[in-house]
Amino acid sequence: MSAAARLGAAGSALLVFACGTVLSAVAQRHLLETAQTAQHLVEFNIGEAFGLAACVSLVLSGPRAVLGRTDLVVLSVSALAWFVPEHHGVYLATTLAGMWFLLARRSDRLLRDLSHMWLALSVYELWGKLLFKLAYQLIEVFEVAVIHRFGRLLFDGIAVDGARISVRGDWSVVLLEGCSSFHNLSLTVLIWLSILKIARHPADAAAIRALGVSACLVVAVNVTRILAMLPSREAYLFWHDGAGATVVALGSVAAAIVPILLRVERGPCRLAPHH
Amino acid sequence: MPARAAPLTPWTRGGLGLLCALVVASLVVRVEVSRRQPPPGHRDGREASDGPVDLGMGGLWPRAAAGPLTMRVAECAAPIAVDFVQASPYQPDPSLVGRPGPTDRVAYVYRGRLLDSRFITIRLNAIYLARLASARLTGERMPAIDELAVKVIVPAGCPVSPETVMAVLRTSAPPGALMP
Repeated sequence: MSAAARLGAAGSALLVFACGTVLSAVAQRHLLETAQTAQHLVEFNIGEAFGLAACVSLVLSGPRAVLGRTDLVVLSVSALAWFVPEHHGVYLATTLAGMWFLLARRSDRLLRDLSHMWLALSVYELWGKLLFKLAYQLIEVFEVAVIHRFGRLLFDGIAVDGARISVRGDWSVVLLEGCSSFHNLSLTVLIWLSILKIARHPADAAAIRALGVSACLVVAVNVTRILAMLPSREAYLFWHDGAGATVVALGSVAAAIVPILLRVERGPCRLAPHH
Repeated sequence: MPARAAPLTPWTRGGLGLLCALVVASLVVRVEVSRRQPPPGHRDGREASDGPVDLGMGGLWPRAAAGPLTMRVAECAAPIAVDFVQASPYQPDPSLVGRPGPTDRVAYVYRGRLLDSRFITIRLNAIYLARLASARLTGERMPAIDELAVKVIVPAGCPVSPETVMAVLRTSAPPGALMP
């Protein structure tokens, strides 16, 4: 049986929906939006890549998909969000379809797993960022307080004013979305969930411990990076736009991937029969 | 066990065809729009504004005069404080501007909309983001990143409403006429 025949039209529709959402967001970002940094590796959206890989893996290697008329109507209506002229807004599509499959088709394992991935992608790409912008002044006061606490170990004169941190009078750094641990933590959750879905591994206590380890590592990497930016404009440019940004991006992704990968690779302990 | 036959109903095939058409349309539209626009990096409309502050009901206040003011009215022993606060995300917390007493009344006016002080940062951010989304959808000019709202602090016991303060502000010549 060919791969297309085994996949079926329903599986193909799910694949097209997942790929179409990511393609629309990527096209919007690269053709019509301003780049945030000059670093290609930092601009590459690793969360999007993991989320899409998990969706493709679920559809290709999971049980054969079966979609009803209502499911197809929901997918098609959700796909209209691909035309939203903002790359985060495109993920309204996965929010709508994810909510539908989570609430209406939870007995179908494939559709339930896909809904988890689509909702995680939506939270990472759209709702988490919206929440961050809405509650910026509340979230950042807390995050800056954490950075200030660790920064006192390194810098005697570290001072904070709202979301602004400084160690000298003529230079300060303001924490925005891209530099916030809040953003990196939502990426960590998405990568963690993607690896679990690809490996068909349950979100058990050991997996949640691995997520906790990743979260602590990611926050530690981010706090270290912010503190490294504080001494001078040159330090800021290196860690924000230069080679340092690439090192941090790789470090954060490794911190998100390695703990859960080790957990999944180790697998469940099996009892060997005694002779 | 033999694999179950795929349910290739007309609905499923039709849905698949529609989704494929929407993917192609989404990409083609973006490529076409990008060909007609200047390259990214030269068209970010969210820039600092030097335009006047919108006081609502047609009232405008020069940005150069947008600093802390005090207003004395006959009904109140203590002066009313008026300040201009930044109203978009990534700006300092406007609730920390000025020093209202615990029983003072605090109100904000953003583009003519009167808001009390509950969850004020979230509400100001929400209005700004809604305007940003609307500008994206309609192709209008993006709101500036440094838009200002008016913060009114009416001292405890003063019977004057924030609406009255704003009415006075709209008819006043900035800034000296308001200074005591």
